[in-house]
Amino acid sequence: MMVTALLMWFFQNLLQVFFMGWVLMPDLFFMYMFYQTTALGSKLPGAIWVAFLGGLLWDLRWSSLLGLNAIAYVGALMLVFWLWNLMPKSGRTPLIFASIMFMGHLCVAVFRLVVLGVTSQHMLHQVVLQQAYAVVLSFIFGFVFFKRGEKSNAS
Amino acid sequence: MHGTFAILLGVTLLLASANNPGVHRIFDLSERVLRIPEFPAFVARRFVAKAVFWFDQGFVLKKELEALRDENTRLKVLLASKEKKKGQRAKSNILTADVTLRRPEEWWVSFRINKGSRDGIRPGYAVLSNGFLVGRIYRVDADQSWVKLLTGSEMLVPAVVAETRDLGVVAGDGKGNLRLLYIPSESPVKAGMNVETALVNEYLPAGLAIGTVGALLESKDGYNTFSVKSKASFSRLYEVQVYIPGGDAK
Repeated sequence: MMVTALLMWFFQNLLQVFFMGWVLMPDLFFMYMFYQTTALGSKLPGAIWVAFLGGLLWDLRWSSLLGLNAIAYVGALMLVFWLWNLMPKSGRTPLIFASIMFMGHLCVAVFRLVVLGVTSQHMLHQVVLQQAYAVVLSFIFGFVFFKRGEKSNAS
Repeated sequence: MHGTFAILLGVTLLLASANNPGVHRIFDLSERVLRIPEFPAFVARRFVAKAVFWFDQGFVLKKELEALRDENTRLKVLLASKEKKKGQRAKSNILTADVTLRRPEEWWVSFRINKGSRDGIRPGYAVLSNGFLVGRIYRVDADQSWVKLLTGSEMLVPAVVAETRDLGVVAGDGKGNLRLLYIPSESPVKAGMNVETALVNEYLPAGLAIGTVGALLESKDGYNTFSVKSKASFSRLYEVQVYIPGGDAK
């Protein structure tokens, strides 16, 4: 899990470097951690510390406050994991999966905005765009989740 | 249990790092470590930016670039003549640098460029875009520097209205806007007049263009506050020019 998660973090980082100043990248790493704990069944304690490490690395690279994203990732991961487990197995559809994933992503963004006290129109516009991309990515993850479920049912 | 502990650890780190200048060293170190694996993304970004520049905007931007080059030349000439008046022998220099990092949460406050002390940059130097002052260097490493933007609320620059010679202070509001403060109410300053730097020190010479006077925002205690319109696009800073004063130019 660790290696794949770090690769996902690095991929997100490369995308952010590439798009810096144009758009804010969605938190792919966080989305992957949710996918990892739910669809791939990784244990939550391990995932929490990987999310913490990923957040800390993101803070070191892109934020000016050490711990900001680490808290956001861990808090949001715990919340979405809890929500996912509230769902009965029959209700765990790709749409629900994508919705919960996006909700976690939105929580991370809102937490950042609140802590940093961002009120600039330009930044808010960027964050709205970031969430729009996150919706698309959530559905892609949802589709992968669905395909994976189909495969395991068939076997 | 793990989650609570991780969040507590995060909060501790957050509190310890807030307003702690020593943390910048850790940030810089991580950026330095990541610079090598990120290099392909930087190259690709530059390539795409150039491709967009030429294919999307094409002719119009090419003309704009030529106009900017002319403006840059005029600016150099203006600076050289001012230095000549002051009796300085050495020529000033304009160094072009790429913006390599602009943190979203400090969008209107600061950014990093890819030139440092090895290129002759020192803290306090003026940073220009489109021939207009956009900020000042405040931290310098060997091969990168940090620029504090005029739009940040901490930045105050003494300024003069060129047409009336009224002195004031240009300050940012932290949201991308500039304001001209402390202009006496009886002064004939009006929209459209040019705002330039007033002499601060040898690093920030007098006469650098900041923008033009905009609308009257406030009139209080005998002083007016105006908005300032800059021709530099603060939300699209990809490349900037650093003014290296005469004595320091390489």
